[in-house]
Amino acid sequence: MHFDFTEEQRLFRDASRKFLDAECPVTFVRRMMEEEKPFDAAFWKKLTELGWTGMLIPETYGGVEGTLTDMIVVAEEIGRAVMPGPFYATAVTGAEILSLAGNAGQKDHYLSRVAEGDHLMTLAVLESEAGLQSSRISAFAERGRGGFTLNGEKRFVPDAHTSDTIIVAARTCHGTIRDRGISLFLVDRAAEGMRIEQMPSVDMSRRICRVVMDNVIVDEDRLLGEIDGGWPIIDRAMELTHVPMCCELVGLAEKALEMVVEYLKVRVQFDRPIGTFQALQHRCADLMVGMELGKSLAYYACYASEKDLPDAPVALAMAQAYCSEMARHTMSEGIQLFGGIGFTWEHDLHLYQRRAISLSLNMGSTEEHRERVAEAFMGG
Amino acid sequence: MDLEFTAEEEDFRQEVRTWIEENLPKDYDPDEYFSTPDVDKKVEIALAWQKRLYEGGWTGLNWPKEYGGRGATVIEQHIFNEELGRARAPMAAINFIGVAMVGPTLIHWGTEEQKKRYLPKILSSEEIWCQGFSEPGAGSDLAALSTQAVEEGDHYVINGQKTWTSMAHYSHFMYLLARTNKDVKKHKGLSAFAVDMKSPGITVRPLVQLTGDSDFNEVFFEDVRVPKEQMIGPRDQGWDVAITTLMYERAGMGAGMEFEHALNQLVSLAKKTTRGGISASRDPWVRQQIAQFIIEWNAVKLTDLRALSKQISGEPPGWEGSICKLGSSYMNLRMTAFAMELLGPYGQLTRDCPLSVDQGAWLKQALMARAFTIGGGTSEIQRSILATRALGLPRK
Repeated sequence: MHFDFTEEQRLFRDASRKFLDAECPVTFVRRMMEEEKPFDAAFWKKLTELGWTGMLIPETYGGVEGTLTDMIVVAEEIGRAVMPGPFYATAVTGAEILSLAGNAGQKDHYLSRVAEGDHLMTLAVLESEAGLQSSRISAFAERGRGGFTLNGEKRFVPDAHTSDTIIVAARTCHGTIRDRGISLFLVDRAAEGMRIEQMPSVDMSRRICRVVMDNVIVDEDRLLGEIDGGWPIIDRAMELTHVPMCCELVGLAEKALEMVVEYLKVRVQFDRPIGTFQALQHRCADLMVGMELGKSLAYYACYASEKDLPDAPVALAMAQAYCSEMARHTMSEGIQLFGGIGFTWEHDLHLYQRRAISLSLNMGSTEEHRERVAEAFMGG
Repeated sequence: MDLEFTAEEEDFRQEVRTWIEENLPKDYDPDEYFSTPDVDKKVEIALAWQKRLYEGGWTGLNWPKEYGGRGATVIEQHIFNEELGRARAPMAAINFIGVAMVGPTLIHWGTEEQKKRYLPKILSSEEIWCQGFSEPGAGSDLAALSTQAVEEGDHYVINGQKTWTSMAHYSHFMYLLARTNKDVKKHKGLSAFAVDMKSPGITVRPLVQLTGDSDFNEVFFEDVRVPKEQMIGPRDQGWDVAITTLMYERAGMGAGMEFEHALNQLVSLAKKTTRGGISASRDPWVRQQIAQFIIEWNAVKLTDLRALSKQISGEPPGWEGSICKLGSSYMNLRMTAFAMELLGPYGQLTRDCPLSVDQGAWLKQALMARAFTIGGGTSEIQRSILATRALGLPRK
């Protein structure tokens, strides 16, 4: 029984924090927000050297072959630093899908490039209804001679504009068996017929895109995994992606609370630091309670997912529901506790608020997460 | 991260579980035990259970072997409490103060004579203890207490009043905190005593709680003479003695297992309740509410495991105790209020009404819910502890 990071992971956390303090100050975040594409190749190279992009990639392909727990150590730090730009789409979603479904040639080609930092990827799955269910997918891949023709529209695709490869989930059969009929394709961003537009959204330091496919032709060897059998792969890859996202929410909340507490210690009104006022102290205490409870749920979701325990999906649903609301509430309260200065563009707290909003909404709605919990404990 | 127990620990769990199954009286009804207003009967059942635990060698699990305990590890203690909670065994309330608080305090501060005199009878529950800390003028601000102990020959003479004293009417001894020095800072002038409840001058008056039950009392002291050798720890160091005791009061989660049971009951209640012609368990609003309570309860349980992990690896305790108490009591408060809402007009019926649902248990729990946000340090005190000690916000 040791429900905590190992000594090694703590050292790794300290090193990661030090790295982000030095290389990813908030000035860097703000600069990235202004960019047309918030991606800095030199910064990405540094992440690669630290082994972050190859964290979940086997050593055979040049990866670090770390664990999901190692990944959440990084994710918390990413949250604390509101690190901009792509990361999970390549290092978790992309890497996992290829590990799970790729053939030897695909793994060799893509995974080693991702581990080296030369290749960025993302997964295009959501469409107009934006629900993570196989039944919501209508983009279609028509089988022809030597390949497939893709048509359809994807939305909320993370970092599509900076990705070299977009993994597209498309329907290959109008079957009636649940979750069958979806296949995965490795599509070049620049392939003919691909149109990618950013969807202007709350978090300018991390972008989402709309991907329109108009008769995009992909070769047979770009089919990833078994035909019609893509959905379970997506399910597992999204589970593994959402775990670190929950931990990032915890990291965001932890840092925001630290900022608030530091401010309350030095801000003087009525001749005393406002942190002496019990009305404010108790609000901070409540934020700490929420953050710690969320942390416990997020860590357990990671543990259950890493061990592939039967309750992993429910554990994740709990973490998603709780951490999403907790992080957004922490930011809202944090802004109130800062007062007027907290409401300005100049103050950094809104960067955390923006990240908390986008991260949580990209995982779905808390209502659907809670419904999954209800289903597990109360039946359908 | 590793949330698994070792094979030895699993064996221990099995041993505990089997023992409880074999020894819990066959006619024991936990629903009745936890909802009966008949305190005498409750105490009788709890005492009988304590005796059985003692005969099985299960009391004072974490006490050192030389004092009759088992010298169990933190994790064994955790498993043991979990199994007791799982079986919904009678709560140790009757002897909890003795075994969980006074015993460890005496082991830490007591003289050899005191240890020999008191510890064996605490373990066997032949002598029940109550805790005399709170006073009408000293609740959250415990150090402001004014009950006096004045030295007179080889005795101290006690005058004053204690309140919220659980089980005083069944106790043989009180672990008392009284003022022995008025000329120093309020924390510096207190001393701890073991007081025989049969001493002349002690009056115990039961207090009726808002639920109508009587679990606690007011205790009045009028020139009560306590022999000097009954002082626990050095004179005027009672505050440090009390802090030791409060450090051992980490049993919140044992009581918490009842919250888990209530959550399961709530699911059953939703299933058997009809709303607008369909089972309430299929109503999206009901499902959302219950799911939220389940999530919060799991968060508390997992946070307790993080605390346990720290304890096992010998790290200083964090703030998990306050966090778990705030989290679980707040969840329980809303959960029981929600059950009332689910029951509608039936929610108001007491166990005496034959038409009441679940023998009126939800009403009782809804009324009891406030006990957990007040007792054992109010939620406000917990928040102040977190704000000033954990977050480092300035007091002045």
